[in-house]
Amino acid sequence: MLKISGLTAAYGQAPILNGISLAIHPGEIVTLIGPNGAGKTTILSCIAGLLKNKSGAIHFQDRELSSLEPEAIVGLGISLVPEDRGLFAPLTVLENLTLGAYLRISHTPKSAIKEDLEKVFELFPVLKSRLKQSVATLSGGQQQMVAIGRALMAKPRLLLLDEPSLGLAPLVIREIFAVIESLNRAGVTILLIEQNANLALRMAHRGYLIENGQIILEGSSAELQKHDAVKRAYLGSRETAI
Amino acid sequence: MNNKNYFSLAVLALFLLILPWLLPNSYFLNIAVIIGTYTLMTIGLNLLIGYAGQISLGHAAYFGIGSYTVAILTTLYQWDTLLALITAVLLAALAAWIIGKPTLRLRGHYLAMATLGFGFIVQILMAELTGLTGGPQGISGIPKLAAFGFKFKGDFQLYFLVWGLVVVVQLMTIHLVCGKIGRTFLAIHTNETAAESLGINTARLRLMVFMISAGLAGLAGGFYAYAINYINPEPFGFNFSILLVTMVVVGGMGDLWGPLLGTVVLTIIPEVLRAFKDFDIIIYGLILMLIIIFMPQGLISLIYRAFGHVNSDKSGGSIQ
Repeated sequence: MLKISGLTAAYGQAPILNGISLAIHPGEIVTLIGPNGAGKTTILSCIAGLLKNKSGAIHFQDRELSSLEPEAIVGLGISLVPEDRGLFAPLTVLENLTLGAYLRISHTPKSAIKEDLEKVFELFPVLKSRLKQSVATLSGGQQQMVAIGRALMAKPRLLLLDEPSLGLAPLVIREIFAVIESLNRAGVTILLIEQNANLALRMAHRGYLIENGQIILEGSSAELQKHDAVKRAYLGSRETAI
Repeated sequence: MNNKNYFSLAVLALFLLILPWLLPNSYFLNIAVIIGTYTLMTIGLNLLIGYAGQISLGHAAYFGIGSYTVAILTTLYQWDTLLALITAVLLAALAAWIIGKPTLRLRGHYLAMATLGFGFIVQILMAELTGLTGGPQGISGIPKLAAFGFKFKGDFQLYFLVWGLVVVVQLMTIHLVCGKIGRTFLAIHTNETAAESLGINTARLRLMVFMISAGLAGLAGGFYAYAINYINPEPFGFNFSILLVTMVVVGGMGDLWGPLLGTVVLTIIPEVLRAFKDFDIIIYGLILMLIIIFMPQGLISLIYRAFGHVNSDKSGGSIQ
């Protein structure tokens, strides 16, 4: 479904990614784990078109993405839930969610948008009672729900999640991860970034360990969980883990 | 919030209808016409600064393009005055497209730099393209605007024309800001990366707003040429561009009514300060400083505070 080969990227002169190659098959949950600053978020930025790669290729269902604008990439069915959620604080929950359907809204009947909103409320019932509230008044967990719900409003086939567990209480994380799994069962392919390797590998089918902009290791979640390098990375983030 | 704004606009329109009869003489009516002309521009500039988050430091150039388009087309080519006015709006918007297209793709205040340079270039062209613009002497003999079988000649007619335009423009602005586009801009303002990740083409939207604001400046410029019938390059310089930005900031950027208030206050203050002779510019600067220090949200916040209502369309910070 998504195939990245030899991807390099840099912020100005500082190289971040040094030849990343990975693949995601339809229906999978794939996770990228690794320490802070390894380049995980940068990979997502390149896929979403927010950052142009220096070299290498990103193919999504045989379309080359690196030359496309973010607009076109969302249109192809890739949605990003950005780091720190990226919510629009002055706007209400409903407005945030509706903006997720930004590209579809002009050519989609209102009833269809409404149906999609209902689907989001099925996943996150608590949002329904907060529709008119500014997202700034929500708890961290609820904000993450809005962020995921907003991405779903674009009807993605591939969902890119950047640290959805960040700053959340264990119970809330469990709830969010349960929703991610159910989305996956409903047919959405998922690329998940987590610093909390243990948590991510419990849910994902496969994973990649990234350090210093390179893939150090790849394999099924079960394999990675047993691997020394992963144990090291996992232990490194133990303080912030569950 | 929408209804409140439409109501405010209706009140304003009623007030504007009776205002000419409350003013003691034509000097005041003249100032009212000037305020109306500036307001057309500051409403557009506020869309750019307060909503699209970009600054134009050369808005006087678009005002000038509007004026000179009207002046040249009506005097040299005897165009129909209404047609010339429409062309003025379109040309100003086109000039904005040329400047905005490359600069608005970039993040940061590149537009401010580009418009700053553009402003100087336009004023120099006005002074140097003597064959077309009349050089420093400018263009005289610009006719009055005649449209729909009606000729706008006296202060009275000009007053109603310009404020009629302001009301219509403000109506469209309310519609724009309170609708999908306003929300989209608030989103871009809060978190541009997140907005782009949803497929919002921020560059295109900014360009659109920049073109609207330039078009409105062109409209104001065209009106100005028809109002005073004589133009030269002098008023279309950097100082005027800065004055326009100041009006927006002092009034309250990102608020629908801020620019109107800022324009009224900053046009009237110098008139009042004339009593202070040589000290007027010092006092003027002092007033500006006090407003910015004590009312960073602009003068409009004072009014909202007085009416005890929290301004809900102010953008907050992004959620971390």
